[in-house]
Amino acid sequence: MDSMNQVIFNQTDSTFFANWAYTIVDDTNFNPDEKRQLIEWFIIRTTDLNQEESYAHFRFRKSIQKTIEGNYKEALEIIDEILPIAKRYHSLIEPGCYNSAGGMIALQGEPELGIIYLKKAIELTPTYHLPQSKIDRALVNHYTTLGNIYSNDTQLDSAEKYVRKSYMMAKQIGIYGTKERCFGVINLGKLFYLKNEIDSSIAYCKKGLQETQIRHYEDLKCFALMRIADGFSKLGKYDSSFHYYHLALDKVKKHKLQRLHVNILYKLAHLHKKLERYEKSTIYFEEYSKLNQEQHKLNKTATSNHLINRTKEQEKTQAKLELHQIKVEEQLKRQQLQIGILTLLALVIILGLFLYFWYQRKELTQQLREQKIEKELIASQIRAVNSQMNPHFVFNALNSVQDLIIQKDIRNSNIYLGKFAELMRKTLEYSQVDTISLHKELETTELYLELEKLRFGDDFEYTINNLLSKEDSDEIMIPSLLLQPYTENAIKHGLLHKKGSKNLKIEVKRQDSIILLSIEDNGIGRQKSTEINSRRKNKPSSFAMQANENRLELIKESSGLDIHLNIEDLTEPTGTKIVLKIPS
Amino acid sequence: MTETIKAIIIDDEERARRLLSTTLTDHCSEIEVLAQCENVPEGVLAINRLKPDVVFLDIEMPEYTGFELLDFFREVDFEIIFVTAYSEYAIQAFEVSAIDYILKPIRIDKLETAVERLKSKLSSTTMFDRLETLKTNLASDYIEKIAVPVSDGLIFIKVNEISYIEADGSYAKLQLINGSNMLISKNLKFFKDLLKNQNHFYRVHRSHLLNMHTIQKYNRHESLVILENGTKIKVARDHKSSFETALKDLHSDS
Repeated sequence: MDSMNQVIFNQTDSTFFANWAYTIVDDTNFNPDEKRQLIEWFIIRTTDLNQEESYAHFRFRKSIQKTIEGNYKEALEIIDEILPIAKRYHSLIEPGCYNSAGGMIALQGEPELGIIYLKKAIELTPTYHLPQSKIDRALVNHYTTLGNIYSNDTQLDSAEKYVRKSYMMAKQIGIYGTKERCFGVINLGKLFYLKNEIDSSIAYCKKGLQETQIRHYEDLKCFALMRIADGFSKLGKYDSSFHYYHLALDKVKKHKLQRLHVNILYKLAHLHKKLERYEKSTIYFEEYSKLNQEQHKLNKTATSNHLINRTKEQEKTQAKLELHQIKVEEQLKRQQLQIGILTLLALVIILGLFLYFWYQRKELTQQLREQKIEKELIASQIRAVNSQMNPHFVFNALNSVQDLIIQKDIRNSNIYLGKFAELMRKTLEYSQVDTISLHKELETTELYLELEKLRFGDDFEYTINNLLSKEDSDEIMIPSLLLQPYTENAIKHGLLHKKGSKNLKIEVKRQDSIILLSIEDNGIGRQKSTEINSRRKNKPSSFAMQANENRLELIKESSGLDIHLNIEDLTEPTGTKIVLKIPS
Repeated sequence: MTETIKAIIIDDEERARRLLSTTLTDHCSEIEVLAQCENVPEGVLAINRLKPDVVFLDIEMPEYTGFELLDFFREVDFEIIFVTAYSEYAIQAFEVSAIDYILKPIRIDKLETAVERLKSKLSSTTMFDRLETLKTNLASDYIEKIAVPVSDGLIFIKVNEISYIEADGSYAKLQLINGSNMLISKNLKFFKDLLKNQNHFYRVHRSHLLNMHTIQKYNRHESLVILENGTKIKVARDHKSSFETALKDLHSDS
């Protein structure tokens, strides 16, 4: 054993150690004392190796030993200690604990509770992912214990059911279920005894004894011996009975099986009493009561106290926990509320700041935008003026007038120079205002077209067709110099490149609440014009269309007047038609 | 009797053609207008057929502009006088390209001067180059190339090849980076205006317009600029600080 001790304490590989230790403990070659010793060592070693699960395993073993010894207090204490560990590791020890505790509680006079514990153990056991043989062994144990509880509670039918069940199962397991099988046989013997079938009882118990013979199932042996003695006692074969009782007594003394010891002493005392051997009976009774009291004192008070304490403590702890939880929850709620309020506050502040800056920014942007629009509007107006007074038109027009002079056409020289001056004057005047009446705009356009006609001669024809009433023409206000750039475009990019007749048609009409202003030419069209312009790399860009569209945008943004521009490319004959839709 | 100068007029406006033709006939007797054409292709045909000495050419015309006339000839052996209603900016490009022009409406005295110049005209062999120069200058935001009259004709110079221009009375001396120089009958102000959009030309002194790209060293204490060819030019005291700023700006730009 000492060399065994050496071996145990030299083992350092924890996993290997655990498996090895289980095997060692299950080895039937060790007697109970040796096993007790081994288990103590393993408990120490597993503590050293910080192997909680294995530690619990061996502590459980110890608990079982304590149960067999009759020290329920310690056994239950151990169970108390290891049950949380077992739960944590989801170990098979957990139902084992219920089994053990249930058995003890039943013996303490609470079979109902014991049955509940055992049923829980039975219910729990198959949930472990372990080899079936291990599960079955555990179940056999539970059935056995449950059967025993029932039998002690004289519920013999239920008892038989579970005892048989455990026995059948143990038989199926084979070699590993040997002890359980033995126990099962003995238990059946006990059951037959209770059912008053004494011969069968003795037969089973003898069978059980025989099977335990080559193994160190000392407790079972004692148990079997006691049961045989019980049977003989009942049959009136007192000699045989005393023989077996004493065999059992020797063994229980030797192996410190206190519980059975008390039982046997009690039975002997009674048997002697029955046989009117009062002296002997008294001795056994004294011995019994001494041992029983010892044990009873230790256990009954302790265990019941323990149980009560445990329950109370559990309740207390539960209550404390609940109280604590409520407190924590309240605190949490308060904190959450505080955090909520703070977050809300912060959000409101951030939102406020954001809105403030956003508003300021918006205001500023708006101002900038307005300024920008105003600036651009002025710029676009200037462009309109520029297009009216563009040097090319101005000087070519003057050149044409000069021709009239050179040709000595004094009348026309006079008239056209006057018209030119009038156009210049009006352009300057209208460039100072935002809007003019449609009538004035058309008047100016006509002046412009007259001068263009002077340049281009008979090929160039224009018509201005105003279908509006005179009142409308005077009252409807449009942005000043709106028409000019489109008219100029039609001439410059459409008609100028065209050979032969050049026609420009301006028409104004009303369509519901919209004034339609169309400028139609029979020029070369936009596509061809673009081709020509792109070829003329050196030509200074004067394509004013984009600028015009920008102006419409600007007018819309500044005054809300939404003038819609539509450009239509005409074919056969080619040309371009521009329609300005002005809401009135 | 002076030799007749054969002329062709190209203008899309009938009235403009008639005006020019009448004015020339009435006031410039040596000019004989052989043909009046209303667009460039017609003009090209007429030139090839009639071999004129001079073409009065409008610029803004349908389809082909006056400038595009050049594309129809490999060599130009006639003078061109542009007749244009163009703006001032474009006029500068004409001047530096040594291309003659008259503005609409036509002034008789200007027309007479142009015809006078025509008579004493330098050989028209450079016409092609002058037109090319004009086109380059018109296409760009600033003057890139100038035609400089010298004793035997014209030299075309890229303004970036000028190292500095030195005033010499009503003349200007152009010093080129390659070491050569030439005297031109334009004053320094003319060049200053010409190059006003090109900020690497700086007038360091009343008499010196300097291409700052050619500066090798600037001596701040002595306010002296030393050029790559070793020439030293004094920076006027009242120009010093603005010159230094301009110099700094130029280097931060590039």
